[in-house]
Amino acid sequence: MLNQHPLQVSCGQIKYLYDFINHYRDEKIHITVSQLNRIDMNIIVETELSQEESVKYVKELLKSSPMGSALYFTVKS
Amino acid sequence: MGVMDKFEKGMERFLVPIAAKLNSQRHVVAIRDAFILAFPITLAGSLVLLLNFAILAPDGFIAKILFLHKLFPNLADYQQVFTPVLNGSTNILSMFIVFLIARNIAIELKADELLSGITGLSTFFIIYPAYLNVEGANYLSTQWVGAQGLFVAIIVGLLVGEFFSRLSKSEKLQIKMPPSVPPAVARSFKVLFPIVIITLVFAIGNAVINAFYEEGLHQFIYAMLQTPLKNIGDNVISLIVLAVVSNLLWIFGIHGPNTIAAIREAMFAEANIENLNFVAANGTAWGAPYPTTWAINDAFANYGGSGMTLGLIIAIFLVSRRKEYRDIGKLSVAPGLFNINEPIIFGLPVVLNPILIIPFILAPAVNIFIGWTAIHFELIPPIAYSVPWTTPGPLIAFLGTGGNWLALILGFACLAVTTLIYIPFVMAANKAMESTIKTTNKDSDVPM
Repeated sequence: MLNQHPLQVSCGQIKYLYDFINHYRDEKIHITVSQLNRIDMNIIVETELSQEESVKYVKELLKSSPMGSALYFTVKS
Repeated sequence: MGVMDKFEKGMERFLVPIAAKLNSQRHVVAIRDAFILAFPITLAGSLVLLLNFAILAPDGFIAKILFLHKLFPNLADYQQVFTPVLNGSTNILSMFIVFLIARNIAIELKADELLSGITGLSTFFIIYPAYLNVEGANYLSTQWVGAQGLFVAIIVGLLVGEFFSRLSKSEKLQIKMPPSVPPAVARSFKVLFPIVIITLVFAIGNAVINAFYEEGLHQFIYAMLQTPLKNIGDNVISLIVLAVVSNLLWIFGIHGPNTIAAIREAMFAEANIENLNFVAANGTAWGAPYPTTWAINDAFANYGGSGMTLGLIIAIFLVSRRKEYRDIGKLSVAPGLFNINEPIIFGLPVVLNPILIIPFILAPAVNIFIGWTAIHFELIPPIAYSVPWTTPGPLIAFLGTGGNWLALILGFACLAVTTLIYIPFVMAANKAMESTIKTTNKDSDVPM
């Protein structure tokens, strides 16, 4: 049974991150956006990782996105 | 669509892609990251120097407070113990930078980063001015290994990083050793030809340039590139423009300081080092050769983080009637004291906030001007010492000037000015929020 971690991502350019992250899947995580707001979104991360590891993983993932290196964002549990 | 929405759309369409390009362009990133990686070394040098003059100089501010100069009459004799730290930090910064840029480019292009860095350093000295022979002994000038050689270091680092990474991937240029050979030997031979080619090209290029320009490549690049760029940075308008751009990007969710880092370092790195060297030689920041540097921003216009948000927090406590504002203010105080403003940026929020955008950009610009004016009219000395950016507010001004009390007072005055700038906007943001809530309540009262 995989863990499900609800996380919050905040960014002034949230749509760029939403487009990249919604329904993202790799060998470690599957991400679904549960709510998109003006400057943040709530996401559900399905993974074997712990909550803390998931936060780190999602941060790195967003950094590696096409706009990630330019954007200022936070990922919180 | 409101004005703010149109502005926001325009920023999304033009500024975000440009900022993204700048932040991911490998040469820009290589330069930025090289300075970031070298920063602890230069900061350590600066801090040791600051302690040296603050504690061990008889007129140092800590020595005076603790009466150290009376307790230990020979205190100043020990200053020479720590003075050489700059010889191992800022005075050889160009050597760090050339190595790190060549290495960073190789990492990006997935080549051998260590050998790329070493080749960069080697090339830097191939084109270095010749040894001076004095009474049979060879001497190497230190003129270009520190601040003045930074542009050559940047250019050589970029070129060597690119050439090395590309040439070392060519199968024709690789010497492949049998599996029985130790990995370190196989690794070295694999890139032998690319290194030989780079060495030859730079040696010939250097000879050609020396034939036409007797003073050498370093002097040529210093005169043609580094000095003009340094001069662009040496005025208050440049500082304000950089701060406005950085804070504007921040408001729109783009990492402003990162985006402008490469340009900022190219403009101010030499000036900062020259100021530090001046302090090392003279024991005071008064008379430092470059009074206008980015250090003014950190010393007077960055309390609480970008947008000088420490002033915003104080303004919230003074005038905000909204409980949520005050709660976020309370949460933001502790990180804000150390110039971290994440809670308030996204909590209030400041990001994409059409009301708070104005003071967020205006307050730092005003404070840069105040700080610059005080330095320009010699009320306080230039900010010559590097201080960690997490140092609480006005202490940066105090320590950066080598313990000038007026700079500390001016820092608090800047904080007061910032609070005054933020106050009407916090009140307006409160009212806007109240009217939004009223409208929402009215809408929800409508019978279904």
